Amino acid sequence: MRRLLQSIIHNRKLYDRPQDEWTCGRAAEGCPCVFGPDHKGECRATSQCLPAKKGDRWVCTRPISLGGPCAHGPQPEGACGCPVPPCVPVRSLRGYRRQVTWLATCLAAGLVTLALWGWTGPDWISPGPVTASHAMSAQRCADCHVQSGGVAFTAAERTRRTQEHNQLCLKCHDLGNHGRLAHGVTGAQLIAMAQKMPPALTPSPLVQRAARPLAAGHPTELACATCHREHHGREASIRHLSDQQCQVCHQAPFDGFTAGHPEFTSYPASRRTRLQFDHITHWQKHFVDPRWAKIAPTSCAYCHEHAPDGGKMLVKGFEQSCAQCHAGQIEGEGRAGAKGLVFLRLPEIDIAALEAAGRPVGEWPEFCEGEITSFMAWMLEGDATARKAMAALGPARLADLGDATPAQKAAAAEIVWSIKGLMADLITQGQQVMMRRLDAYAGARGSTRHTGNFSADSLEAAQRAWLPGLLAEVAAHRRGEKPAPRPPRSTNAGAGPAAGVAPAPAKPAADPDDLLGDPAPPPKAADDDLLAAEPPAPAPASAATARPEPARPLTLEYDDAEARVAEGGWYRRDETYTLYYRPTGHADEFLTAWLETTARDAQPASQAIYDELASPRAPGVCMKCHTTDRVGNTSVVNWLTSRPQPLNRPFTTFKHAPHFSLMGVQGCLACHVMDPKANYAADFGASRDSTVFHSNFAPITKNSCIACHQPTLAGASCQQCHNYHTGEVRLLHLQAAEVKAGGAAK
Amino acid sequence: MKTFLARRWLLALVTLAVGAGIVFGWQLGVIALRPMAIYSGWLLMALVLVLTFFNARKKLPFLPLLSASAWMQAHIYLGWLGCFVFVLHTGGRMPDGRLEVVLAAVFGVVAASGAFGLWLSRWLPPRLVRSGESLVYERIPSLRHQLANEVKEVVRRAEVEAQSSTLPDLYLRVLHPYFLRVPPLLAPLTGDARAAHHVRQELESARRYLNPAELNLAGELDELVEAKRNLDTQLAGQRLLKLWLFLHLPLTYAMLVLIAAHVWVALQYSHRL
Repeated sequence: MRRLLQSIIHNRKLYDRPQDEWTCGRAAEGCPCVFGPDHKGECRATSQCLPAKKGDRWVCTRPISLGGPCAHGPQPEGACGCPVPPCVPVRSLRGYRRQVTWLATCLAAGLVTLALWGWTGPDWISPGPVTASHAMSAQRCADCHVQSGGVAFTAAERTRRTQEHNQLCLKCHDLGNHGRLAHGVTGAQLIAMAQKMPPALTPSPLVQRAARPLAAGHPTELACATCHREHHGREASIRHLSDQQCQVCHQAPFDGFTAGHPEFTSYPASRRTRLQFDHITHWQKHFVDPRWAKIAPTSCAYCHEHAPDGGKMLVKGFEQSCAQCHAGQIEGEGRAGAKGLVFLRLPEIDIAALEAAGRPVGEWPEFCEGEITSFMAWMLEGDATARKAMAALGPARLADLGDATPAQKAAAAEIVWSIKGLMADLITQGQQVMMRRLDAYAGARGSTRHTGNFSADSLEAAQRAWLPGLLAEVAAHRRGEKPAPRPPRSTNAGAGPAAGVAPAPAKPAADPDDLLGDPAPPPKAADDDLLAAEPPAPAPASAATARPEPARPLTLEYDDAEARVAEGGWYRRDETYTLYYRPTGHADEFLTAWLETTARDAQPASQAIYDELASPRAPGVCMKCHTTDRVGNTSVVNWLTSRPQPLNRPFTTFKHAPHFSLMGVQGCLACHVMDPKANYAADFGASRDSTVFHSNFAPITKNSCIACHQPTLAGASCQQCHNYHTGEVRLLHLQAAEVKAGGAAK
Repeated sequence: MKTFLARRWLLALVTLAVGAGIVFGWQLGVIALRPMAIYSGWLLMALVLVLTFFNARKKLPFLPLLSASAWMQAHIYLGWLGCFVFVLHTGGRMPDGRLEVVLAAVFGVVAASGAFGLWLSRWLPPRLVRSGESLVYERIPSLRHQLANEVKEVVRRAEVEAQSSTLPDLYLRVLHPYFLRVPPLLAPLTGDARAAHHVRQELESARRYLNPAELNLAGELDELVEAKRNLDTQLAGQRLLKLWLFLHLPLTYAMLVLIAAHVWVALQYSHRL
């Protein structure tokens, strides 16, 4: 039997202290002392035992494991008789381990100290590189972090911290008015949208139902970092979310686009078209008409093209898409009435009634027709006296004041003087009169578009023909002088303007050098009349009788005044005492400016202008195709078709260009199926509600997309088609430096 | 009483069940856009503290806090759970931040050394038992000294009684270095039978030159060589069973310091606490 090295007899075993940091230096020789070193590693041994006193004798207490009591025993004074020379204690394994532990802990503490408070602190405490977009803030923690400290135990504290951090994000990122709210819309809007959502086609997945109670806080106070997780590397995507994450707040989550996603209801149409263009009637009626078939479009690409980013399909411009058929209409081709817009007219006034009532109004043509134009009414609205007079006039007509009350007659006289004053102001002050009126109108600023390059000279020429003494009369009236009584009415045909006006064949020029050949008296006006206006009528009776008309030599013939401004501009008709504006063609600035301005203003005078311009019979026929939308408390005229709006992110996005190769022989009709039964035109006209509409096209079905958009094919994630941040989202605020005096930027 | 195997299966299944529950909760939290990295961080820190307390528990034997064996079992399975939570916490990838890289590396070494220690504690003891007499590690140096003295005594007897220099020569050439020899650190893993085998071969070769008296002494030497082989085996094995703790324990405390810093940074800068 093999001999055992260790004694199993209890009193022959050495007493081991493995937990001590130091061991006796003689332990390896098999003769350790009984005391062992102290905790500092210093030898405490001086003898082999501590003798014990029994009675009057000292006895050796050396343990049996070290040989038992020695033969000669202790010294008489009680000291051990076997002195032990001191050893060099040895560190135990545990002692070494403790040393290593302290070393490692101190190293870690040093590292942490340097990391948190050292000069390279941000490098050390940063949990990883930020994305390239945020790289400049990598060393500036405070750009994105508020050092809040500690755990936020209360909901209020958590909300405060979230808001503080969100504020730092929104310092650079502009997410619109409701950027902090879910989907960038208000809670009420969100609820309204949820109510409109069609139900999911499958029950909510179990996981979604289980996760929903854990959803992150109230949706109105989401931290940006809920979805955007930074510090995951330079190339990491901080926008990606899984489909399940996208739906965790939704009331009716589903598995994915191919399983459970609700059927499209009205996609892509979310409003009526900005241009009233009926695809059905054009394709099925007009384009097949032999008169138009040769120039009619043969494919959608004739009028449509994709935006530069490949997203939206745009309508090509008027010249490419519409002009071939509709340019003439806009310019007045085949139009029965005047091609110009009535801007100013001397209305028919019951002068006799006014004079009989002791309200002389001075000079006024006898054969005026019609009433005050809407533009005149609008400008007179800016004159307090005229406005008061028009109110006082009430239902009475200026042309027939026979039954009017004296007050109405007084108001009518005041209106006549206001008209004269307006005309005089337009002559003497020109465009400024219109601009002042526009400036006084809330929400509008006058521009050259509104004046239509109005020339005071043109009106002055008209005034010489219609009311030669206007300026003197108005001046006298404003001084408070009463007008001179009208001369007795002449029966001469020359008293009526029509007698002496166009056509004016072979009218002699007043002066051989007057190339414009304005024969109108007085002669001095001939040099001033630079306008291509109708040759003015002979002066009314009073003027005509004042000066004998000189003999006119035969000269060139005038074309019709309207024809002379075929490219647009101002002209007049003396026979009706009317000043017209003929549109320059499509997108005429004068018409568009006035439509825009008056559409916004609900005042009757403005609406009268709008109604006149928006009439299907109005010159330019702008509103035959263009529409007006009610937007909040105002209205906006849609001059352009739908355009990409980089700052306005919709919920659903779609890029057309990548899908072009998939359309096959059907082309666009593969997805956009016309709906011949839709009453497209019914929702236009006077309606300004763009949300009430009938699209020319049936809604696109989910099946159109699902053939390709599956998880294993073209992908079917929520974020492929939907945006989270919607509305007016600018990626970044413009951080413009404030420039101080001297050019230094602050 | 449960068998070791049954206990192992039971605890492994419990650990797996808890891990699966954590994964499910994690998945729900991720879907719900909760700050799961923070939650898993708290869980991981709690696990690390519990695991660390095992060491403290050994130093506080007077406290009635379950048996050391129960603590050991808890340490093992919570350790595995901690590794699992760590993977969840880091997203299964190496962190990018410097402090986090250091912390992750330290955690990895601690976890790996723990797993290595667990394996050693399962693999080595049976081999040590099979090797021969179990020795107290702290006594091995004195026992080696004792063996060396005994060999010296046998050789002296051979020199005196047999008047032969064969065994003394062998002693000087082979036995003396062998009995003073300390096995290398990784001897249990790399094998350390060559030295003893060589000594035995030398002793066997010398037998043909020994007289009967010397042959008896050679038999004693043979027993001492075997005792030295066992002593080396016990020393190397037990030393290795203690040496892995030189990684596991110091780095655990270093890790606690790093964890404290990590938590402080997270609390200071997090958007979502």
